[in-house]
Amino acid sequence: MGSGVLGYGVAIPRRRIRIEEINDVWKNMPLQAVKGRKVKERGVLGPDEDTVTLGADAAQKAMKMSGLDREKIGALILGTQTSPYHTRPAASMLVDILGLRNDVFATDIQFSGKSGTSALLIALAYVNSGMAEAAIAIGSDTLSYHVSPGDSQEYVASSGACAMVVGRGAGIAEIEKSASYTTDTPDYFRLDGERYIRSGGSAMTNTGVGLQENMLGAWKSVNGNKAYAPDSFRYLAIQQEDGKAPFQVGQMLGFSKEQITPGFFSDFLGDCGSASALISLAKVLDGAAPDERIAAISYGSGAGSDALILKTTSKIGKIYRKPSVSDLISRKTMVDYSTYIKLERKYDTHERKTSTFD
Amino acid sequence: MWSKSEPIYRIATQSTAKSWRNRFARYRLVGTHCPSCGMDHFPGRHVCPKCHERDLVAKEFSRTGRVVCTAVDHSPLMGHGEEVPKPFAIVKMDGNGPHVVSDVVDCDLEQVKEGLGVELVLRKWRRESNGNYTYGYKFRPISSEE
Repeated sequence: MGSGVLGYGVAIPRRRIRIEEINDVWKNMPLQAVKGRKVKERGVLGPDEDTVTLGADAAQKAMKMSGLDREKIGALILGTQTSPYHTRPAASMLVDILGLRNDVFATDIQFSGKSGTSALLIALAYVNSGMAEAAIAIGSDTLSYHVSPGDSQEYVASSGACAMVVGRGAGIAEIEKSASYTTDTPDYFRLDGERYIRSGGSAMTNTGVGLQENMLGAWKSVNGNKAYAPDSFRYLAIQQEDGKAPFQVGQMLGFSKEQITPGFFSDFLGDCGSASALISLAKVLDGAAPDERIAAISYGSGAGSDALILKTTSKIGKIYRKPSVSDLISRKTMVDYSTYIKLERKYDTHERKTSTFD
Repeated sequence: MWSKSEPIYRIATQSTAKSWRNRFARYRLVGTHCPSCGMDHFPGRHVCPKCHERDLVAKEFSRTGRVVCTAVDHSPLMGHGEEVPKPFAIVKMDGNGPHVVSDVVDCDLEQVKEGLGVELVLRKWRRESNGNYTYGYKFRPISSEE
């Protein structure tokens, strides 16, 4: 395809809550069942954080790693399902936050949990067509803020962002091929004006119509006629709604545990939505050596999947990859249930509390 | 969807126009530099206080710096506090940059000491008077690995 990843960056909130804390309050599922999802801790958003701040942090890190002059960026695409705005792009703020030129293409896009990889596909389209010399794609979500207390997703919903700077030339990882798959499947949704994401019921979420069908469809499309055998890949970077699905779906697609583990991170962080597949890819790139092939597959409810095939170049051994995704996940502060509710503002109150000045 | 519990503060609340005018200062520490006498200003000025020059140029200051002085807010005013206790610091930016005051985030209270190396990170500030969100600089410790 002639384009590649020039740099990447990840941003996650610092605080975490243990699943036992949530289960102690609600007792809405047997603890064994919750543990079966293989997420031990999930991220808690701070009161001064949101999709824009996480996205800005990730993008700054990606720009720094790429070494690219900010004038070279011709497009910025923010992929999120939790933008603070319905009217008004968050991407325009990111253009000024990062100090990019004003004559750039900037937009927010939404496809549930695959908004980040979809942003990456659009960025690649801009670069490959020559419409931009380089582009930034950001996947950023504050899912934890948009999941209701007492909901089964409360055990896994988290927040995070990952940015990728892409440009002409192979960079640190060349993108060989990409493909997508889209179906009308209402497995998770959130209507305009609603705060909390809801599911379409277990027929949508627990059968194969969502996750499995769409990810298999995208994988078949990108790896048409089994052009690459599973063992020609060193890694699989995959969407991580919990700690179990990545291994289940990955193995269904023909990958082994050894290929999936290097990109696995959700056991101590949770579901980062639009950032999920990109954070998995970043974690793979953190530890990758030159000339290794990577498969990256995302999933977004509604539903659809994007799949990419990348290959690292010799440059990957020469860049500074610290702090790594693992470093960031290990830098944490634990909070209890009541603090988490206070910080993520999941309580009802009046819009103007009577202050000391009244 | 917005949360009713996210406060719109009643003191020092900017209008959208006012916060729009200082957005580069908030996002990237952009101030001004006087080409006549060489003085740097942050926040940016229209007239140099030293030599009264009006043709000032925009200057983006360093994103990293060292903590010069710290304080901790243990008792935020009712209706104005979310994180308690909240550490904040005066930071001297690198490259003979300005002194800047803001919160120190993502670390334990004990870490916030004079001499701590910090970097700029974008976070939410106070909402504008009409409720719109504003973003601006806060500081985060730089780890030894970075």
